[in-house]
Amino acid sequence: METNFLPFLIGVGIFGGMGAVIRGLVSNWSGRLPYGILAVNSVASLVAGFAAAALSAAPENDPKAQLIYVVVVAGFCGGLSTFSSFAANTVELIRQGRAIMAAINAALNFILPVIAVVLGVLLASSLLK
Amino acid sequence: MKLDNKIIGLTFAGGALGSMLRYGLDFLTPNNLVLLFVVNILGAALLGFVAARGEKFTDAARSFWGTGVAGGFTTMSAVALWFAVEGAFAQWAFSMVATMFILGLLAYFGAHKLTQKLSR
Repeated sequence: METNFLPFLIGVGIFGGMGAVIRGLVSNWSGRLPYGILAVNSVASLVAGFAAAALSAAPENDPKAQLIYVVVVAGFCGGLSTFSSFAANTVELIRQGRAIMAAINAALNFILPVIAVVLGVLLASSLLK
Repeated sequence: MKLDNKIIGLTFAGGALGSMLRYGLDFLTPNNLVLLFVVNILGAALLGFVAARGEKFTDAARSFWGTGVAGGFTTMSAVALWFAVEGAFAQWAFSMVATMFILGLLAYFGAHKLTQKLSR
């Protein structure tokens, strides 16, 4: 456990709450698929990939870098992205008899965030050379 | 749902609580993969419960427990980051994520059904 656990916990709470509010504002964006949730999951993954690559260059025992990493990745990105709404949306698509759209939703909620992580890492690597 | 200051405040509070619970659990689980399974399956079940309560839950309660706590407790960005970094795009890592997705859907569906049954 990090020394000074409390600042990490408070930072995760504040930034997690901010992420949740942004997610709440865009989660109603929906068409044939729940695009809002797909968008927040992808954007959060992009930011997480960027932060992971950007802060990997910092010294391992740098407390400020650790705090920023935890607050951004566990706090903001964790609060912005969601698995529960993805599960709910996919089950609802199945219930509506739209099994193919449910499968596409599941596939996109895996593929797009993974691509976003890779893009985030590449972006950080190119910007922070 | 009308997005007024109360709903936004409750979503913030729930998201903060869910995120802090997830962060705290990080220290009680042996590795990131176990953490992701635990938070995502429990969080999906919580949302299944909230959704099944329907009209019995006010907009405020749904914002706090559903969008806030369940949404903040679960995470997809950490799954993607884990798959790319720790899982290194391996086939076993893909199997783990696929298993998590299936269990998450079952958790939501099961909690929804069970809550509806118990509410009758």
